[in-house]
Amino acid sequence: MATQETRNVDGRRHVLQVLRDCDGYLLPENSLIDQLRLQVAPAPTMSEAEEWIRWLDSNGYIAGIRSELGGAPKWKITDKGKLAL
Amino acid sequence: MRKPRSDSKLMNLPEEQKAMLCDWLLSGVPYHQVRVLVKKEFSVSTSLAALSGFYETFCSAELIARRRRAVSTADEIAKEVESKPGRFDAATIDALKQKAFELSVNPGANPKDVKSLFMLVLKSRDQDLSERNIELAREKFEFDAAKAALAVLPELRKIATDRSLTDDDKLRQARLKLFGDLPE
Repeated sequence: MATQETRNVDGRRHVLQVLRDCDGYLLPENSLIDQLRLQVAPAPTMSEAEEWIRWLDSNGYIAGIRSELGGAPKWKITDKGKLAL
Repeated sequence: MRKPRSDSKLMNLPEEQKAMLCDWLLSGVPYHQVRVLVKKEFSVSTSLAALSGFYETFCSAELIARRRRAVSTADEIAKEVESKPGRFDAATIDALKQKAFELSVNPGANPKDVKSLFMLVLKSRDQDLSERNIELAREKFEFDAAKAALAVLPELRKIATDRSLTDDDKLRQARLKLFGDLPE
């Protein structure tokens, strides 16, 4: 059975793959989580998916932009993220 | 005769029904509800395991294809918008591209929003055409005015040098010579 760390690594990789496929466009966080829930088996909980996103953000693999008018952030992959795949 | 397995029944659905099934699964309808829908709409009995197998085989690929389509839709809109230099500034072009992408990637996007975005781009094209028509009409007017002025040049000179006329009178008379009486 996969350990939690293996699952985290797999989940983070999926985040990077989804964002890489967006080809430079920003993906709203809710769409990103929806896609992770469809692509990762078993589907991650909301907090698990958010934890993968935050980890990648704080380590510079993805970058988020938040609208000045509020709302959830939108994400894109960084060069470091592309190199990690 | 053995009954066909329920997973092979799903794999053998017509393309249109497979696409519909993909849509249900990708838009987050739970398996147990999809099972009911499949029975009702396609008259096919299936199992949760068969739906899971179908998902793994078809939906993951469809999800990736959908992201690619979203990128290409956004790129198409950007191409259309960028073909009108000066119509939109760079920040607006970026915002339009991003909006097109978000609408295309979101299976729950309201088709009206997608339509509005395309209409905005098309409206800008119409505006270009009407501006061009105004420009052509102005060019024609300038040409006609020059032609009329040449035809009555001696009279215009006479009006211009007539010291008994005020500036306003001179303008009125010159206009009359060039274009005739004002329409009622």
